[in-house]
Amino acid sequence: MSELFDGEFLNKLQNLVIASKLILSEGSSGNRKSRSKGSSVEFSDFREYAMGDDFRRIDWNAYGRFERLFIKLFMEEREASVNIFLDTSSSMNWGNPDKSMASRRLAAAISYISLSNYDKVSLFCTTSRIEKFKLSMRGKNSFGEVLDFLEKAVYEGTTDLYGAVRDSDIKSGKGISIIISDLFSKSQLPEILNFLQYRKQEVHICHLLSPQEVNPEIDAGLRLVDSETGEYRDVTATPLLIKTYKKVYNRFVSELEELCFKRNVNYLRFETTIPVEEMIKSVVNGG
Amino acid sequence: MTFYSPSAFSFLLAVPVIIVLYLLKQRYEDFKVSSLYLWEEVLRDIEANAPWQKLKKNILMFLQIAAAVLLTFALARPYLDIGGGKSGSALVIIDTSMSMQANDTTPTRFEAAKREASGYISNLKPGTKVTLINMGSNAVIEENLNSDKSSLLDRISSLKVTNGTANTEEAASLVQSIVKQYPGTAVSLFGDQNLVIPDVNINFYNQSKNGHNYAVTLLSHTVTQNSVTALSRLANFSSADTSLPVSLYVDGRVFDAQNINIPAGQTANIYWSKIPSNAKMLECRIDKNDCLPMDNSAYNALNPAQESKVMLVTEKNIFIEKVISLMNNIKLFKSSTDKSDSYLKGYDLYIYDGFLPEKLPADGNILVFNPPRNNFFTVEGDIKNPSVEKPESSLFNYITDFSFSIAKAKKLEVPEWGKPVLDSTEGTIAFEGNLENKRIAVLGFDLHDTDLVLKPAFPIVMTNLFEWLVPSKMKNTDNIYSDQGIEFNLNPKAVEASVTIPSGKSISLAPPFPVGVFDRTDETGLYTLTQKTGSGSESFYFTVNTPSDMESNLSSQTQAVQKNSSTSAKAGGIMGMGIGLQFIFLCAAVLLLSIEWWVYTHGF
Repeated sequence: MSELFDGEFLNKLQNLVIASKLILSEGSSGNRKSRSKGSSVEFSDFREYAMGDDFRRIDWNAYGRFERLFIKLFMEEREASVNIFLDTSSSMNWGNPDKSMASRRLAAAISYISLSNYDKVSLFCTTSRIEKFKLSMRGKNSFGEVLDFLEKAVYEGTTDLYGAVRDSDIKSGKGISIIISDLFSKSQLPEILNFLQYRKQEVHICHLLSPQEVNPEIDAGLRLVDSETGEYRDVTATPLLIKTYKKVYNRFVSELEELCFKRNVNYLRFETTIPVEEMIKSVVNGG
Repeated sequence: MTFYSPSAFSFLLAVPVIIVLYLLKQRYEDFKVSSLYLWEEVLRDIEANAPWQKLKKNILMFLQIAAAVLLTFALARPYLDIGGGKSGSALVIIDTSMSMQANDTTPTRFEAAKREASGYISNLKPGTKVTLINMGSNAVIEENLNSDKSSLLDRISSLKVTNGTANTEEAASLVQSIVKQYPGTAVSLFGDQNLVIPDVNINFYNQSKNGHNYAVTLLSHTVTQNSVTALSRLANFSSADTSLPVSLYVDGRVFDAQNINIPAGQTANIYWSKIPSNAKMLECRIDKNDCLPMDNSAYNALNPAQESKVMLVTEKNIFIEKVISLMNNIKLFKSSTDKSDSYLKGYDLYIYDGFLPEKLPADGNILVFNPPRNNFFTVEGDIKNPSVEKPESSLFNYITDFSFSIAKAKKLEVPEWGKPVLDSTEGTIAFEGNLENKRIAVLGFDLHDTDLVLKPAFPIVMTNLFEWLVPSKMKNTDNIYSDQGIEFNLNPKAVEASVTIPSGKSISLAPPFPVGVFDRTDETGLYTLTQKTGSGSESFYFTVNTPSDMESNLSSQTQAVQKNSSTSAKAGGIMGMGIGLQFIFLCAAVLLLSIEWWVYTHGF
């Protein structure tokens, strides 16, 4: 068992499965709960009998106790395809707590929950292209592969998220695509959403930032060096600089929120200080 | 614009130092960030909102360089010449009299005057020759035509205020002679009492603020049978009626205390009776605070009466006998000229009338009338009806009527040890001098041959003679003021003399004989003159008081000042002075540094 995914983390995942109600609006047939109430074997709810209901679904035991007619409701179960795009560029290997750690834990948690629900999980490590991938894992037994895959992920190179997503060549069909990235290539996001939504994907953006990116801790004169490209800019830390940074940051996130809202995309922003279970709760509750 | 300290420009070397420091500082430390994505937008934003931000890195350096340059200019003490003319000469008078101790101006008038005078000198044109006069009991030139401001300022700071009066007459005559010698000299007086000198404009810097003051202006005593009665006079120099608690101290201990009401501007007398006759010193003290504490005490000394023995050697002289009989504390002995061969001794004064022994007595002073030819000085011959010139000797003090005639007088040759006291057109007919530590006065006429003895002047001349000749006394025993000189008439038998001043210090007067004028009277209180003779020592007490008559009335001096202030204001513009720009440059430098700090912290 690695430092990245310790026993405590795995226990938390187990609890998360019980608590989570990751619900899809639609999906192909499978073991996944859908919002459509149907006639599958898994009980969902009761409601009072109304004219026209199927007699066979009346719960006679309930009638015996309450002397009122109740109808049993059942879930329709379908299999979902969950695609997780994990940004493994150099910029993700930065911050305190480290974004690489938080992003992998988040990816692992989502995978575990999905696998627990008999969904089909595909993982993609992206930089300017797909560095590595693991397709169509099914069942809890595959979680070991997920952990192995994530542990071996290498954070280096530059970001070209659109190019990478395009390279993934995911099949057209209903599914969920989750992007875990710091999104320091915002301009590509509309193209990514176009691509994924064209492929009928329900897109979730997990925007992961370190606290130092939200409130930069710099003083005096510094040469800021880009972790991906090695480019640099000389700045003198002044109140104006910090103030402008915050203004630019707020504009950056609000534009992302606006774009996602318009495109009906679930946008979730996390700082790496947030525990992974909190992140998961946000993800499964739809933000 | 000129500079007092051009050497300070060496500090301009700070400019390249600042540049070098900036070059060194601009080596930025590497700092890895996840992405420059946001930072580039930040920098674009800043540059878009403040286009000069590119300069910002250097604007701090430029501001610092400008501040360094301004500071250097301030250190070089720049001076703007407004008058345009040549550097002239200035006369600065500082009043050091007692009234300058008044604390109605903070901290005192004197300190304020020094401060103002220093400021005045600092702002004079470079090269201005300054003469500094200390106007105390004597007007003293402290610095003469000195253009070195630092030494002038040092001298001003070393000046000390006195308990004496301001000798305005002497100061005025000094000012007149200096202005006459150097026309165009700007005269400035820093004090509380203006000088009014014809044809001289005085720039008067008034330090007076009309403070309230009370003073003991007189303390004297009379001896009645077995006790002493003292009189003290108190003055209220304030503008309000007051009640003063007054105490009398006898030999340093409280003897009596009274409260007295004195209307504003008035005086009041207090009599103190039944003072023990063996008292040595009286002190009258006002126990109430005012602006000038020095004059709240007055002192008076009591000396036991001393009888002097006088030997008169004459055939017959009723005039001398009569006048001596009117004097107190003098015991007269007589001898005829035929018995005079016998050796006389033990007298304080020997009066020889128409006679001189071959050998002078070893002790006592000598007064000679109508001397015969002798071994001690030359008697040249008779003058008939000499026309007497108006004498200037102190022996003829207080005499206004010199209309006496002399029928016959002897022409005297003044010896080396003497000086003439009465001259006629034909020659000297009286002289005085010191011979072998003895005071000798010689009058070259017989009192029977002059109508002087019938005039009011005669007892006055005789009193003056006795004051000088009868030993163990001093002149002006009453009303000695601080910083006033004292002339002692020492006992001819004295071999050593010293004065103990109130602080307890003993100052030797003699030897050598004769003693000069004693002027260490800056302290007020009891002084003791001690004379050692072969047979023992004798003490004489006297007191020195503040010149409250002249110096205590702070308000009246203020009025005098206000009367003259209009003329002095006009005089202020006479000297072409400049403006010291040091302060302005300093302010500008501080302002620039503040801006630099603000730019640094706010980033604008």
